[in-house]
Order: sequence, then structure tokens, then C-alpha cells
Amino acid sequence: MIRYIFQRLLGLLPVLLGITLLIFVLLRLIPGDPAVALMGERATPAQLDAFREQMGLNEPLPLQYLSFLGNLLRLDFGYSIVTGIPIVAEIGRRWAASFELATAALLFAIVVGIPAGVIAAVRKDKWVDNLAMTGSLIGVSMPVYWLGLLLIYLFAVNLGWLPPSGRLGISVGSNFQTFTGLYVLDAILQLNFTALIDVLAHLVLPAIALGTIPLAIVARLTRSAMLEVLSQDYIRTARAKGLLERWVVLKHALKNALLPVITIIGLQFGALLSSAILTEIIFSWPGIGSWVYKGILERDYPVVQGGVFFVSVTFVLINLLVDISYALFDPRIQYK
Amino acid sequence: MITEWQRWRRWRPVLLGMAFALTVVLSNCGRSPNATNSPQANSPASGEQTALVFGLGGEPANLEPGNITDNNSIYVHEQIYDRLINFQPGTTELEPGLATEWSASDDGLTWTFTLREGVTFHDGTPFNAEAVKTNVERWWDPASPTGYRDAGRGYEIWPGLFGGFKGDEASTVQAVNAVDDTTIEFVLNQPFAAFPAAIGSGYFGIASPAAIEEAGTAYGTAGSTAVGTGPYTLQEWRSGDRIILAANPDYWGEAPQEEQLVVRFITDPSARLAELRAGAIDFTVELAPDQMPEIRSDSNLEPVLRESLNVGYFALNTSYEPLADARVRRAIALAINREEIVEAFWGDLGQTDPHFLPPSMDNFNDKSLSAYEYNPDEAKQLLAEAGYANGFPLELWYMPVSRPYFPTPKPIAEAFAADLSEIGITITFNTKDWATYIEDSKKAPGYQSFMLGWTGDYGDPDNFYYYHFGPGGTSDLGNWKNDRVIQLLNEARATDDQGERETMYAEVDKILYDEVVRIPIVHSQPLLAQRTNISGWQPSPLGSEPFNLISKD
Amino acid sequence: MDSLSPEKTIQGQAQATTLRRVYQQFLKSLSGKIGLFLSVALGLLALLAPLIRPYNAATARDFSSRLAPPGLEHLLGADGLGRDILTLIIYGLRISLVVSLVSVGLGLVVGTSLGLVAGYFRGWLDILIGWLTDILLAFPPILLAIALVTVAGSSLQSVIIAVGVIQIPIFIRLTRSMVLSLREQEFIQTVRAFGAKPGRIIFYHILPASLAPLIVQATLSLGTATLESAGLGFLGLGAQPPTPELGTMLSDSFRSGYSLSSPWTIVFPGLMITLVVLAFNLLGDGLRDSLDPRLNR
Repeated sequence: MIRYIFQRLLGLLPVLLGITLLIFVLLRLIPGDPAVALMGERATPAQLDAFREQMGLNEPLPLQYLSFLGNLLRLDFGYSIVTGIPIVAEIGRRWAASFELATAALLFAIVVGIPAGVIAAVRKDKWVDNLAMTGSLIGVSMPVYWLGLLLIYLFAVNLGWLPPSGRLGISVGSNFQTFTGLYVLDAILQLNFTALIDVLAHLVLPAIALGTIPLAIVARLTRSAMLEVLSQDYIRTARAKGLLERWVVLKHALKNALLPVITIIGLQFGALLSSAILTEIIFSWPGIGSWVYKGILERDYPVVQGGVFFVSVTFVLINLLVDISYALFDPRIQYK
Repeated sequence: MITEWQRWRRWRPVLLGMAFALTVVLSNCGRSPNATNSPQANSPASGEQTALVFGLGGEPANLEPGNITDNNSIYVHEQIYDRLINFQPGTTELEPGLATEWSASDDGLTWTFTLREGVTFHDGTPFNAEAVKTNVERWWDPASPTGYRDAGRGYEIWPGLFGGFKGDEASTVQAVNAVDDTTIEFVLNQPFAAFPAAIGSGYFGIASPAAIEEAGTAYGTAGSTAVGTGPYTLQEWRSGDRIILAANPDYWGEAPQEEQLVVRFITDPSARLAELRAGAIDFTVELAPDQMPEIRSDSNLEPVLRESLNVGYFALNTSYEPLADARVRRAIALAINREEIVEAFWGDLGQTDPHFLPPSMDNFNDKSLSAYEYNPDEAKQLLAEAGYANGFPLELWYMPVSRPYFPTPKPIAEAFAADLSEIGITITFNTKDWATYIEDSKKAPGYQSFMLGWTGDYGDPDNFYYYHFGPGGTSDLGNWKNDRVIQLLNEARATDDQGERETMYAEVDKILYDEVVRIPIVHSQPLLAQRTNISGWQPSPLGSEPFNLISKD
Repeated sequence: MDSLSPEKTIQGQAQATTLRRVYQQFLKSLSGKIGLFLSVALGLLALLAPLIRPYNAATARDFSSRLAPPGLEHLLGADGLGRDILTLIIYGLRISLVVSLVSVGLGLVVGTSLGLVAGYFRGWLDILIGWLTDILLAFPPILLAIALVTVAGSSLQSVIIAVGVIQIPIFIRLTRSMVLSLREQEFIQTVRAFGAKPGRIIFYHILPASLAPLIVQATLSLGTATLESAGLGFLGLGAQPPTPELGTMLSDSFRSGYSLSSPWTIVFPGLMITLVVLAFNLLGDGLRDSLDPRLNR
């Protein structure tokens, strides 16, 4: 097993190298520079040359790539050109925000999706099933940002039930300390329940918007996995023995159906972390996706390099973890 | 072998936790509607600090004076720093800032400023002429030890307003001298009548030299400090989220009404208005004119208007052959129905006139000029005379971002195109993201036609004209150049005689009207909004103002 | 010679029976039927748009009905330039369909070719292509698309290419795994033993046999491609005016600040996107049920 993990890790190296190459090439192809992005109407041509010189953009490309790679190896991501903040520090903060949002979205997907899938499977072709499956199909078909906007207008602006955007209200803002960057955890650690409620309230709408697609996927997959399991012999035997239907479903079927569901949840988590850009923009959520997007628009090369690299590495690692746990839990899968 | 029960036990805490979370959230849902309807929604419980919450249109780049030009940075900069010269609230009239008096020598080449006494920076460093000199040298002198130019500092705005850096031929400034503790003197290479206004423009807050030295190249960034003499001190900067400022109790001017000022970064105007309506922010800026009905429909909100000191224009590049003919350019000006467009997109918040200068500088305009009346027939005739009876194709560039003068560039561009297609000009739309848009507009041969604009740094025509039509300012118009205009601009810049300047600028206005290279489309009033319990906000036409006079009931 | 080869006629008969079976299966699937109906209806709407609602994008503008609410004159209301929303979303649908079809086509052709080559020839080609696939899969797709459009400039073509590129890896993976399982099967082994050339084996035997899952995947990808291109449009990176694009309509309304006071400017374009994606997803579901019984979950 350890050898398998080691091999898989080793196999990641060329992929990571390829990612750095792709980032580098893309950035060098993008025209424009950060000085102009900030100066706007007031920019003059003379500034451009000075800037290129400063950023080492006049050196030969392979040399630039090597120094970029060297810095990465030393975990030196540099500083944001626009804000001057060390990239590593900023990644930490942004990552925590993204992580919290993705977790909340996934929790929402699991809490609603798995029961919905189970019920749909048990009541196959009944109206509950049809409703759940139609709902999930519509769920995967909606643009996230559109759903987000509708949620904001309905629940934040019109009904006033929940805050429209951001992570933290003002009333708790000044005396709330952040240690981990995960505000929910921070609030619990400080036993600050006002803050906890406020933080959770801020999480609800973005989590629903972001979690709708995974919710639909989880529900559909749970249903199909349950159906497959329910049609198998040992379930029939259990039923024949006269066991209560609910017991059969919970004890025997769900247990066996969960494995593929857990796999897909893991994969979804990786995707949620990296592709929540639109949700983050709509909800002014200071996550890593919107940060990199802003970096692209402002030509903040270190932000884009560091951010994309970090996101890709996490994505690859999460997939690896999913694979490994799959190998661990499913005896049918053989690893060398 | 794991039994089923063990597996379930493993899941149970998770499920219970989620149930708890849901309960908490739901119980919170029940409570908030009352809270948001009350104007006190976000005032903290008694005994805590009172905070004013401002919705800013994005995160500041940094808080280092002289090195920032973007609006978002300037807003916060304005709260932390003072400048030598201030502008009277709500106007472009000069008033004492950190300098109490200022005067020019008879030849107009030496400006002397008397500094306010007894002022200290937030970190306790005394404010004096040396401090001013250090700040000015950072911006102006490439050899300044605390300028950190090797670390990427550009101070591009300095040569933008003052010709060049120390040692440059075009530099307006020749020397900066600290005469004594409370007197600073600027020696100029050529007279510059608007010098006090220029040095008072929003970019040039005076920062604590000690703090700059201590923070080094990180000064002004989110991880570091920003220390001035202004009404608020920087308390915390949570990147991506907010800046928290505390009232400066020792402020030399009027101390802030509220103990805290929280600046939240909310990029989209729709999101800002949603936050304002929900009561999560108290006042906000840079809203779109189309949001006016929504503001008016909410009894907890009121619109706030900023006086217009800008121009949004449609530029025609003479290096594109059809546009080299002034008749064609004139035809375009006649074909665009500016009245209707401004009425539709701005309503009461915009006005159109034939002048490049905003209405508040009307005394510098040639009042005999009348606007190009919308007249497609005459336009067609002019096109025919110029040999383009069947029209011609034209590339139109619109910016991808909202600017104060063009809050919604894209639909406005579409409206231009619809008008121009009536006289046979077929438009191809183009845009690039903001960084490239500006950069490429200045690369030969530039865009065939494009939208752009200007917001005044201070209330002098020079600030509008010199950049656009001066000796170095027309790289985006192809080879267009008007020697008479350049001569007039240089002369008007040097003299202090108001009457003479009015005559000279009026002539510039007339020439530009006939040349039709940058067609003034609109002078717009940026829309701001506040909750009704906010008072004392006097928006400056210059685009930003300190918030120390604002209070919350 | 070629056309009379026995292997082909046998295969032809087999294909005919398969088709009949697929058709019967498809008719059993409710979601497939609804999806097919929706897709055809939307396709017809898009094709016949100029007949149904004539519209000249270049000159359309009517400030007198600016932001008019839904009513008799404008069934679904009007936008900030006074243009009819119904007309705009029908034309937006055209663009949306073109973008998703062409970009998925691009992804399908490039991805399938690479997958065939990798799976059939194995060796260093397989390693190289596998490496490219892993990189593309690890790179956040929406960021990759944004970066590509930024490089190429905002236009419909850039969006098509960017969205096409991010569809590629899944087709490589799918095709490669199909080829790997097929190439060891008896009928391929037999053909190869008769001395058939690789190109012939790939195009006449392997490709047809892997068509079913590819078609299913392509249909589902049409849905994601629609969402992705609309997302780019929402970020302001999409088609240039006067081309009406659904995501851009949402962003225009959102950025101009009238999305709340004139909700019809945001509700209907969003509904249209949802409808298109839903149609493709339903159709994909139905196709999967009928084409690929093994995947029938």
C-alpha cells in the first residue's frame, strides 16, 4: 500500500511540472501590465518600459521560467505586484475562506442529497422519485451565479432574512479574532456565539448556490447506487427473511451504496475549491478563485502563478486521496 | 471488519452537527427581519464602539501616497492622510490643509507654504517641513533613499502632474527646500499657476517619514502600516474583505463623529446596493444611474449626488483614413443623438454640452458654441461631400469597466452604433480588459474610435486639457496635433491672470469644437447613496473626501 | 474490393439491429423523450428565429420602451436599450447553441483523436498524451478558460476555443479507456491478424464500437459547455455586441444595476440558459439509458 501511495506521489511530479509550464506560458502570452491596469486613463507609455525592466520581463524566456521554477522550489511565491502582500500569506487567508465555503456547500449537498437519493430509490418511479430527480436535473442545469443572484434578491434584499454577501457582519467584526481563518472554527474556539451565528448566516446563501450542483449529483448517484444494491440477492434474502423494509434500506443497502457516493463527494470537493469563482464574485467572498481572477485582470503575475499553482496542487492531491481511500476501502480494486 | 453500527456511529456526530448548524441558522433567520428594518440594525450593543460602515467599490491597491491612482485606494488614503492644501467640502476651492498659507513669488517661480504647527503623525512623529520634504523627495527624486524605486515603486502620477522627475528636462519642480521648521519652498523651472491645487490633489498625502523608514518597501500594503496625520488611523486591513479605521482623537481639524470607520470592499454596484438595503453598510459610492429608482423606492435610503467634474468622450483617430477628414468627424458628431442617449442612460444625472471642460468650469468655455444638434441628414450630406456617401466601416472600442463618466460603457457604445448605422457607418465592437485597453490605445496607430474620459484631479482647466491636447498627449489620436492649442495651453499654464486664462481657454474650446477629435458626450454626476440615518456627507467633485464630518443617528 | 469485405457487411447488419434496439430503448426513457422534444424545439426556435421575430442587431434600439416591463408590446419586457427581451433571448439561444455545438465538436474531435492514438499505440505517445490530460484536468477549468480568452481577446471565437479546450481531456480519457478494452477483444485481434493497417482498424473498428459512450458524453458536455460559455459572458469575456449572448445579458443587467428594479432583464435570460442545459442533460440521460445499458444507473 505504501509503495502504491509513493508511486502515485512520484507520478504527480511531471504533472506539477507541466502545470508550472502551462501557467508560465499563459502568463507570458497575456498582453498588458499591472502599472497600466492601475493607472487607467493616466498611464503614459514611458512607464511600460520601466515596468518591464523591473519585473525582469526583458530577460530571455527560458531563463525567466527557470527562475520562476527555482522560486517555487524554495516555496518563494514572491509578493503581489499590486498590493505588495506576500503571496504565501495571502494564499493562507484565501484558502481558508474557500475551504470553509466549499465545506459548507458540500455539507448542504450531503445533508439534502443523500436522503433525497435514498428516498427516491426506495420509492422508485413514484412521485417523490420523479420530483427529486427532476429537481436534481434542474439543479445541475442552472447557472450558479444566476441562482446566487436570485437567492440574494429573495432572501437578503426582499425578505431580509440573511446577509447578502461577505463573511462577517459589522457588529461582530471588531472584537472577533481569527486564528485559523476558518471563521466557524474561530468563533467556536472563542466561544463567541454571536459571531458563530453571524458567520453561519453569511455562509447559508453562498453554500446553497455553490452546493446545488453537487447536491444534484450526489442525489442522483445515491439513487442509482441504492437501486443497484437493492436489486441484489442479499437484499432480496433480507427482505424474504421478513426484515422491516426501513431496516433493510438503512442497514444493508445504504452502507454498500455509499462508497461511490463518497468518491464523487471527494472529487466534487476538489472541483468546488477551484471553480467557485463566480459564486465568490456574486457573494463578495474573499476566496482563492476570485483572487486569482482579479490577479488575471490586474496582470498581477505572482498572484496568478502562486494561486493557480496552489489550487492545482490541492486538486491533484485531493484526487489522489480519493483514489487511495477508494483502494483502501474497496477490496475489489487491486493495487500493485 | 467494521460493523454497520460502527459506521453509523462514525456518521452520527457529523449528522448531529449539521442538524445543529441548521437549527442555529434557522433560528437566526427568524430574528433578522426585525433587525434589518430598524435603522439601528448594525449599531453594536451598548458599551461597544460606534462604527460607520462604508461600501467601497473594490479593494485598495495600497495606501502609499504618491504611488496610487486608483479610486479605491484614494478613498481610504483620504481618511488617513492630510495634504498641504485641502479643498472646501463639496467644492474645488482651496482651503488650508497642513499648510495654513501659501504664496508665489512675483516671477511665479517660487511657491512658499507655511505649515500648521503642533500637528503630529499617528505614530507620534512631529509634522514639520523636513517631513514634507522627505515625502516630496520620495515622489520626485529618483535618488531618494526611502523612495524604494528598485522595489518597483513608480510614482507615475508625479510626472503626470508635474512634467517629470528630478533631473528630467520637462520637470516643473527644480528644488524643494525646508526653509525652517514651518516653511517649505518649491522652486519651479517654469511658472505653474495651478501648483497649489496640483500639490493638493488627492494623491499627495503626507506620510510619517519614521513609519516609512521602519516599514521599508512594504509601507502602505495590507500587511504593513499607513501613518498620516488624518482624521482616522489604520487599525486593521483584512485583505479581500475590509479595512478597519479608528478615529484619531488628536486630529487637528474636526474630529470624526464615530469611533470607527469600517471600509468594506464590494465590487459590484448591485451587490453594494443590496448591502445598503440590507443595512449591512451605511453609505456607498459609484452606483449606476439605473439604480436610482431602486434607491428611491426604499424609504430607508436616499440618493446622494456628487457634483460633476468629469467628461466622457468619444474619440476619433485621424490616422484612420476616413476620419482624417474633419467633415467626416463632424458628420459623426451630428449623427450621434447625444441628448437622447444622455437622457436615457443618465436621466437627471448627466448633461451634454459642446465643451470638453465640465460645467463647473464654464467660465473658461466659449459660450457662443452651441451643441451639435442631432441631424442625420446634414451628417449624410457631409459624408457625401467627403466622398463617403455609402458610409464606411468603423471599429469602436469601449472599455470593459465602469468609470465615473461612463458607468455602463457597453450599452452606450451600442447606442452610438445604432445611431451611426443610420448614416451608413457600420460599427465593429471591440473591447479588451482594462489594462490592455489603455495600453493599446496609446500604441500606434491606436484605435479607430474609442470611448474614454477624465475626472479632474483639481479644479483647473489645465488638468483636463494639457494631458489630452498638450505637447505629449495625443498618441491615441494618431498624428493629430494642433500647434495653436499647444501654444495656448503652455501660455495659460504659466500665467496667473484669470481674465487672460479665460480668453485663452475659450479659444482652445473653440478650436477643439471645430476639430472634433474627442467629442464630449457627457458630464455625469456620480451617484452615491446613504441610509437615512446618515448625515453630514458632502461629496467632493474631485471624487473622494474625508468622512470625519459624517455622523450616524 | 474494400466495400465487399465480409467483415463490413456483417457489421452493417449488426449496426442496423443495434439501431432498432437503441430506438426502442430510447422510447422507453421519459427523460430522453422530453430532452429530445426540448432540444428539437429549441433548435427549431433558433433556426427559425429570423422568421419568428425579425431583428436587426445593429440598429435595434428604442429608448421609448427602455426597461419596459413585460406586457403586450414586449411579452418578456425590454432591456436597457429598449430591445425586446424575448427577441434577444431567442437570438441569444442561437449563439449559445452554436458556441456549445462547435466547442464540444472541437473538444470531441481533438480529444477523441488523441485518445485513439494514445490508447492504440501506447508507448511514449500514450505517456505524453496522458501527461497533457493530467495537466489539463488539474488546472481549474474556468480559470483556464478565462486565461485563454484574455490571451486571445474577447470574442465569440475565443470563447469557442477556450470552452473547446477545456472539453478535451474528458474525451481523451474516455476514448483511451474504450480503446484499451477494445483492442484486446477478439474481433480486433482477428482483423489485426489479417494484416489490417492501424488507421483502418482505428477508423473502421475501434471508433464505431466506442461511439455510444462518446455520443452520451458529448451530449452531456453540451450542457456544461453552455454553462461555461455563459459564465464567461457573465464575466464580460464573451461575444461582442451587437451579438446577443445570454450570459452577457445577465451581466449587462447586473452591472448596469437594474437587475432588481427590472427583474425581467435577469430572470428570462437565466431561464433560457437553464432550459438549454436541461434539454441537453435530459437528452444525454435518455441516450445513456438506451445506448449504453451498462451505464444505466
